[in-house]
Amino acid sequence: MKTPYIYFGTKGYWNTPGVTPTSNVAALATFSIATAGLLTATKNNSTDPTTLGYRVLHYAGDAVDDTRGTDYTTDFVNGKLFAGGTAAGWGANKNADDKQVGQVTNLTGVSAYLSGSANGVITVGDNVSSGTAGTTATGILMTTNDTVVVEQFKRNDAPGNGASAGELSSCYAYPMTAFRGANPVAYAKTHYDGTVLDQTDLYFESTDGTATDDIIRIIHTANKYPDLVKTMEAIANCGIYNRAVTFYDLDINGLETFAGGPSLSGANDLGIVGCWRTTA
Amino acid sequence: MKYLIVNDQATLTSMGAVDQTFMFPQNRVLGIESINDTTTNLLVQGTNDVDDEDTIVLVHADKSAAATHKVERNLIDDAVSAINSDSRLGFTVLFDLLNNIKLPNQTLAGSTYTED
Repeated sequence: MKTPYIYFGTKGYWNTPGVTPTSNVAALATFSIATAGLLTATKNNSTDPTTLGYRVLHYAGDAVDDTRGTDYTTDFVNGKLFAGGTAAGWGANKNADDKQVGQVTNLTGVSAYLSGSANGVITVGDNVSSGTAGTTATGILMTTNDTVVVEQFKRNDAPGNGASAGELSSCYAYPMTAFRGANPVAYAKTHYDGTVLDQTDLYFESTDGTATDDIIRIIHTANKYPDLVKTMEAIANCGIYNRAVTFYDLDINGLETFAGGPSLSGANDLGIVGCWRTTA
Repeated sequence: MKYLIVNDQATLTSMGAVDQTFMFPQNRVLGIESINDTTTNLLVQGTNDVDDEDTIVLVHADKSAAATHKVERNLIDDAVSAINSDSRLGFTVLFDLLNNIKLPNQTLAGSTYTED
């Protein structure tokens, strides 16, 4: 019997609280393929973050003076100058190196952070010229009220990007007859742009024939679960048999493709910020 | 029910052993997944063991290269179209090394079938 097929690309996403530095560096909580959809390759102090397929973003939860590296002058989300003061919408008139609540810093400095080889640990340096990462130009001093987001933004960052390599960017297609259900999971985190997030796990019969289901994990805007399951129903009954219907994809140029919501609009109606496969 | 056929042997006399030629119903497909930059696997429920999978390896151009970065996505569409085909014969040949039949975005060399 014919059945529609659903296609999932991968977008890794790791949202974790800030960590107080020890010896001028802060080791973030360990992530994995199951929890974040990516494992970054080795990055040392000579690896330019702008050459990678993921970025590390710092969201300020506290206002603290003299904590941001001098390389960083503009907000990643709204593009406004950190030194723009109240005229730019910030809480106070401060210098660019003074953290204010809500400011988002894209850690693009070459020595801003380190990563081990697919060990799930990213270490962020503070803005002091000592320690294994971070300088007065590239570091940022975190507090535990801050948030750090590791976000994949294009495919094929790392060599050996396939399913077995465990780094970045695999893709999967399933017959909709293999769909077993959608399970909302507590997530309770906020995206760096202020959007509250939820997690939904989509269950499919395993591609290796075993009894353990495959799970496609979706991180999306809060309260979109009803729309998400209606989208799955729409795809299951779409009558498209000559191609796989893309639920989410991220290509080599950073172009994202969405099924959309229940109307299959092709826009990011569900607010997807992360999509990856794991197992039950 | 329609059926799919794959053959990874280039000569008629070499066909007939295990892991060479395979026919399966379209509703036995478990999924399609990326393995690396040049390999995509089509996985079907095992013939010897229903709790295992048979693996059909579809080779393609390098999806990490700018000029061919869409090739794997297009190959998946090719495979889905063939699996869901309304062939009046009752079967569709996914690929056949002997007769040089392949999916549009597939590379025949290295494409294989393995029974688990």
